[in-house]
Amino acid sequence: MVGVVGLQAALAAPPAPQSPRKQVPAKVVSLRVLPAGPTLRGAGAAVRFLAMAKYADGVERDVTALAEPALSDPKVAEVGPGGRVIAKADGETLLRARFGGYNAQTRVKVIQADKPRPFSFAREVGGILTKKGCNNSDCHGGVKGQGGLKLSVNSTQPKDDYHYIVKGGVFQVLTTESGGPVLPRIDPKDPEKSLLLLKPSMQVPHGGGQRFAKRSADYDRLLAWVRQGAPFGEESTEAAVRTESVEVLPGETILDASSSQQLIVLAKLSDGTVEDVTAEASYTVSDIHVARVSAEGLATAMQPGETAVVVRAAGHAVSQMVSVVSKPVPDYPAVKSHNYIDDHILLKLRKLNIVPSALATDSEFLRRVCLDLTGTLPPPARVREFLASKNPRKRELLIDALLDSPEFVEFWTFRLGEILRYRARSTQLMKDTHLYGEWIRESVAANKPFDQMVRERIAAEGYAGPSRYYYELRFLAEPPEIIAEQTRLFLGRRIECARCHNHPFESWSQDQFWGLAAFYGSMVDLRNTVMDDSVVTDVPEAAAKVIHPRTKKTVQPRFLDGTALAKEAQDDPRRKLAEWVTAHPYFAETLANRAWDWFFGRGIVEPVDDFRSTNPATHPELLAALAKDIREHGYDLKYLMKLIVSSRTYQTSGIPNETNRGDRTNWSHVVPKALEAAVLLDAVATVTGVREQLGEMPLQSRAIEICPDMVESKFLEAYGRNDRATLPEAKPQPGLVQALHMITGPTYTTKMLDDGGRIDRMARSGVSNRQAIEDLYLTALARFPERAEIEQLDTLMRSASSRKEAIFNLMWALVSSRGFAYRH
Amino acid sequence: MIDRLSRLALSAAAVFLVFPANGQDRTDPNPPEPQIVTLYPEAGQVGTTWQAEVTGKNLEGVRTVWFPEPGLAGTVVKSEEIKPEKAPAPGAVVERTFKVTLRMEARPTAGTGIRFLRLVSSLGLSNAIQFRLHAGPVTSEPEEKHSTPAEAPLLQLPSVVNGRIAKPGETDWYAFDAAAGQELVFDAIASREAAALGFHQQLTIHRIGASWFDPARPLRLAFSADVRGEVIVQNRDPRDRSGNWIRLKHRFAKTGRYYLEVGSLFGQGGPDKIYQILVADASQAETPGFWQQHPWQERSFVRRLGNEHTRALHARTLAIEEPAPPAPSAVGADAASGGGVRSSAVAQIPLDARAEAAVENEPNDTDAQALTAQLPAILEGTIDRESDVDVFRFQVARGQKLAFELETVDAVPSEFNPRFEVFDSKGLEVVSNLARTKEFKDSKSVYLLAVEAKVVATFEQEGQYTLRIRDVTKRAGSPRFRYRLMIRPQIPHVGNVLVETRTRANEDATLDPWRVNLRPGQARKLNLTVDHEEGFFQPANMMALQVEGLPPGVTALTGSSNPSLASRFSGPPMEKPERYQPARQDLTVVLDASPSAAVTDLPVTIRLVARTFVQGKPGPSFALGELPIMVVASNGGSK
Repeated sequence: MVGVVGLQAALAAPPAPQSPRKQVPAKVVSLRVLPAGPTLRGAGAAVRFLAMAKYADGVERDVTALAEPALSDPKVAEVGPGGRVIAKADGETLLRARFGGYNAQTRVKVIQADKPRPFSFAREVGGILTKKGCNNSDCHGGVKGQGGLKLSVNSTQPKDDYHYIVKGGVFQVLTTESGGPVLPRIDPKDPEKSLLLLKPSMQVPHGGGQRFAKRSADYDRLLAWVRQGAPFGEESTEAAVRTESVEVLPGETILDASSSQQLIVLAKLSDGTVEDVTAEASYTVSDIHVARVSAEGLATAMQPGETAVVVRAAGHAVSQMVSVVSKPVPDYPAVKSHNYIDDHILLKLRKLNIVPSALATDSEFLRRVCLDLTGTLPPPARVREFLASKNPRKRELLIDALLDSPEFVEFWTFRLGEILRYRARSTQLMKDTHLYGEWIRESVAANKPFDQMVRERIAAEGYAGPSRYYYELRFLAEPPEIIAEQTRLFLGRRIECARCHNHPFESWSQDQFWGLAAFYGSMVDLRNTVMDDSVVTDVPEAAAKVIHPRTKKTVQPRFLDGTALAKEAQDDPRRKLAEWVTAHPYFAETLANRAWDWFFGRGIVEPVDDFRSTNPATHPELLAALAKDIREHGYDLKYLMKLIVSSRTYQTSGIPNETNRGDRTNWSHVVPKALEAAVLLDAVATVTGVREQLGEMPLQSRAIEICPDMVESKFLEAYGRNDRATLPEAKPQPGLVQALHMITGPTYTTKMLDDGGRIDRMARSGVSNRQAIEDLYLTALARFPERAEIEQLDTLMRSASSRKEAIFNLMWALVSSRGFAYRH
Repeated sequence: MIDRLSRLALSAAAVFLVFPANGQDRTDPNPPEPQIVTLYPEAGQVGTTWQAEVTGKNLEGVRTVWFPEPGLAGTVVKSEEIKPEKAPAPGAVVERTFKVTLRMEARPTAGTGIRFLRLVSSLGLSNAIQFRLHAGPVTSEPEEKHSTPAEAPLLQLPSVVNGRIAKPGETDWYAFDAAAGQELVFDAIASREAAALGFHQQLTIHRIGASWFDPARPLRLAFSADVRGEVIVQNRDPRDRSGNWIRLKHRFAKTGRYYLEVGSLFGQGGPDKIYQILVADASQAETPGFWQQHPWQERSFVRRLGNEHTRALHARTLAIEEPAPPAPSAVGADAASGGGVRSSAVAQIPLDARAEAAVENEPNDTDAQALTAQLPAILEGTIDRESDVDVFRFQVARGQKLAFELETVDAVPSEFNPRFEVFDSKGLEVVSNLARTKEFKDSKSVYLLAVEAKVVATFEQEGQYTLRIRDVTKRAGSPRFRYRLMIRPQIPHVGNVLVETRTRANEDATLDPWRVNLRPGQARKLNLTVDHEEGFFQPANMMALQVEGLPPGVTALTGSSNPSLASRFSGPPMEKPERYQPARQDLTVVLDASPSAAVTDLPVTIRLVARTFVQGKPGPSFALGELPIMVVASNGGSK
């Protein structure tokens, strides 16, 4: 252990918190003190505390400044400036708070109060570099650093940082050797001439500008460190106390307008103690219009909404959602919950003073659920029947009918085909075209548990359908590409950055990445005849190995936690990988999140495959509950889908109210979602009554049955179908190309003018304007027209020069509307 | 006189003759060849007559239907030229297209299976085209459109139906009735010619069922995604009876009416997209016989192994016992090579020893449970469950040259991928049938593996060896994964002989070139590739070729190159190819028609006969194959 006398003395005392609250609601229902049961270690160790009062509206508010703190044993600790509890002597004491007629307390334990806190490079030096933004990914934390100095983002790799600062050199992607000029950033002979001090204090030119002033507290701390001989400190010993995680208190943060909340950032150490690093943390707010956070961690409300606050400290990064609520809603309505999904959603809406929209009408629900479950518009006869039905269970019965329909199988073969990247010509052999797609289809038709599907694909071998996934034309795909995609798709994590370097934001290392990639290191392509049936299997002794790009050594398969694949399993590594992936907690939450996205157009974590500490879930408890549920129901996709579409949340209207108009993240109303290109094309064909000729495919083929490399289609390209060459990134968005295609392209006009099409048939049948309007509304929008709509459209149709033109104008108005091209 | 000349020429097998690539043609250097493109229908019933239609090129003056096999007869009913829809561009080479109507007869003696026909026209003999003979009734699709369930004709089972996907996007529908619990087999066969053009037929079984959206929509019960039965047409030898064949089996849960939809990949269609469907109860389904390929199968998983097989090898060589085993070396096993000088305590296996079967007895997954076999032997067993391994043990003399041959008649790669490895007493692998080829992808090397049906190796160390056999994948196993692994002494012999007669660079490589049309004063070249198996390619060994039955005025001259180790695949090299590949010798036969050669009315079948010479001693003669040849009048007529 290396002690650095004087460093702690240089610690700047945090400023006193501002008044956290101007007004609080009258009714308090509970009180608690945070952090719960902290253990402090070392002389002068201190921790801030919070007193949080829960009110009748469900919101918990910061009442620290009003809470009258007291300690049961003043010999053990004292309450100092800034609401900090400061250790004095070994022992235990109770910290008590009182507010609103409630008492709360927490135990505070102090150990080794007579010993100075051991020095840690990561904590002391890394903390300054993090707080001052020196190791941001756009500065020295970039892949190759900046200006010849490479630092790990947020000091996640302190040994590397120490090396580059004290020894010099630049990180190289393809070798373990340092590159560039070997220029130490410290000068032990003349510490004040150290570049580590000269540059950020702008005594010499610095591209990153001034990060701290000469003689500032941070300057002095770094100078003291250099003068002490620039030790690495505690981490260099076996008894090192590591920071295992960072926690931001009080957790869920809800602010009234113009109020504040002190955030406390605690480093949880490997010896069970905690350290208050609130002052050493950096705070980044994603939406500064909603809230701002001071350098001392004080969050202040700006306007109603939600924002993520990313907190970086002590080699870790975490995020915290901060919500600013609107003014209280008088007579907040009671909203009936359909299932536990609604419990979570409604609870948060209530806290945020957001009232959910009304339940969707039967028409709204019918069209929505048909498109979401089958990608198919409901036929007019079924619309009439459903709307006329008085059966109180009709929505449930409809959901069951749709889940059992062949259209469900077709649509979810398409949907899963998108993310599982089913391509027609994956192996360059035409006869292989349907193998993979049929495996998806059969899996959907049999409602195969999703974890089983994933295991089958990861461990796919032989000539079986899922084995075709591994081909990229003639050859098997490369292990790094495969594992990056598998991890993203099934575990929701993007670790591909770690292929070339340690992940810049997360704690994924290059070794972890290549350890996972090595599970594919023995996968081989076996062919009996040139370009004939190719077989996938694992033959460790005959395959090319996975070589670490930096160390140039063969990499052995290792799971993310570093556990090596057991020797007896190395003959069949992908099977073990498949079991590990589907048993990992990430797997269930990723599936739950993706399923949520399928039905709501946005994940609880968004993007759906980018879970990370700096990208928080909007409803973490709901996500956890869904993950637990799907796991307990054997990864039954139909169960999950039924659960979601049966919820009040899914069945909420898309028409916003005064309280939820600006809400995009709490599912207070359904947000319109553009139809996928293939679904839209099928819908256009249905409404116009003219099938789309897709290449040379049979005319009855639907666009959702077609792979991107099977048939070219200007419509599908214009409307942004996924090419499936990579995982889909973008969601359908309207654009100029689509508008131009609608007006000048052949799809709409050719179909509408087609002899034998719906317009032609209606014109020849002598149907009245009212009937035509009603039929087309039912077909395109799954609802009856309103009286005002009938009157306006009737007038429009009467102005036409021919019957065909009249119906053409009517249909054009419908199919070019947002109401048609979106699912509401 | 002619026969004597040809024999003289053939006995000088090492003579080198240099000819231009397209042969020496003293008249028209690039004469048009009659070519059949389609035959419809491609199936008929034994004991009946039927009308068929041929389309093709350069069929002017077509007059005779020629069958190489007995029991078949045919007459040309009508021939008409099809005028092109568009006038050809000035200067463009125009090949005249014909439609020929035939009357076909399959006598009761014709038997069932795949047969061939050729047409004789003014320009000579056409390529061969396949058709099939069935014992039961054969029908053709109706003239009327039948692209929906409502239009589908009802099939009586069993049923053989000829049809074609006449235009892009077309699907043909057929109705049939099935009983609850009944399993039916649906075969769809695309013609060899359509398959060569990339046609892939598809089968879908439907029932009419209820969808919330459409109560009358067909509901898919089964689809032919797995086209593993298909044989890629890559060999131009018409005796390879290949084409695209897919099989769909389905057991029906309910009694009722069902529908069979015949379609094609990506909606392919056109007049040449010809198919047959065979629908039968699973207990009565016939096997279309696609595995009855080339008459000589040296490295196929479906050849029958046994003492008959060994005798067939001896018939293509002269058996001479090795004088002595080689000296031991550090290497466990190596390729077939020359003999050594030291003796072994274990006796070499006599070349004429009979192989006995050694049948596995489970459990035999470990070395301790290994079944001991006496060589030569045929190891028999089944990889009948996941991760099943069968272990055998055998004794080998020093210097023993062994051949390992695998037979898996019921299931072949890619379904069953048998992998065997032989280990010495120290547990080191000395030989396996897993061959590895290095290729390059984006300037990085990647490996392609293959399980081989035949491997040869020389065991330099005397002792006991352990053989483990399993499926190369980890999770495959089936009662159909039966194998027979023959281990025998190597028999140096002449193996497969590939004949090509292509004369024009732009000739469709997938169409049969196994016929020769000569004009008086013209010469043409036959290219032969001869496989030298199991160490036959030693300097003292050779093979001579003889052509028998030449028509008057036609002579044959032969020449050959030196044997060499050559990759079986064009492209990157295989590791240790000597274990997995034969040596190859290119041989040339020039057929030369004198200016006075008599024009032939009908094809004359010539025989290619080989004779081996082992260590300077003459061995047996054996037939390599037959080839029809015609001498055609220079003016385009036969006379």
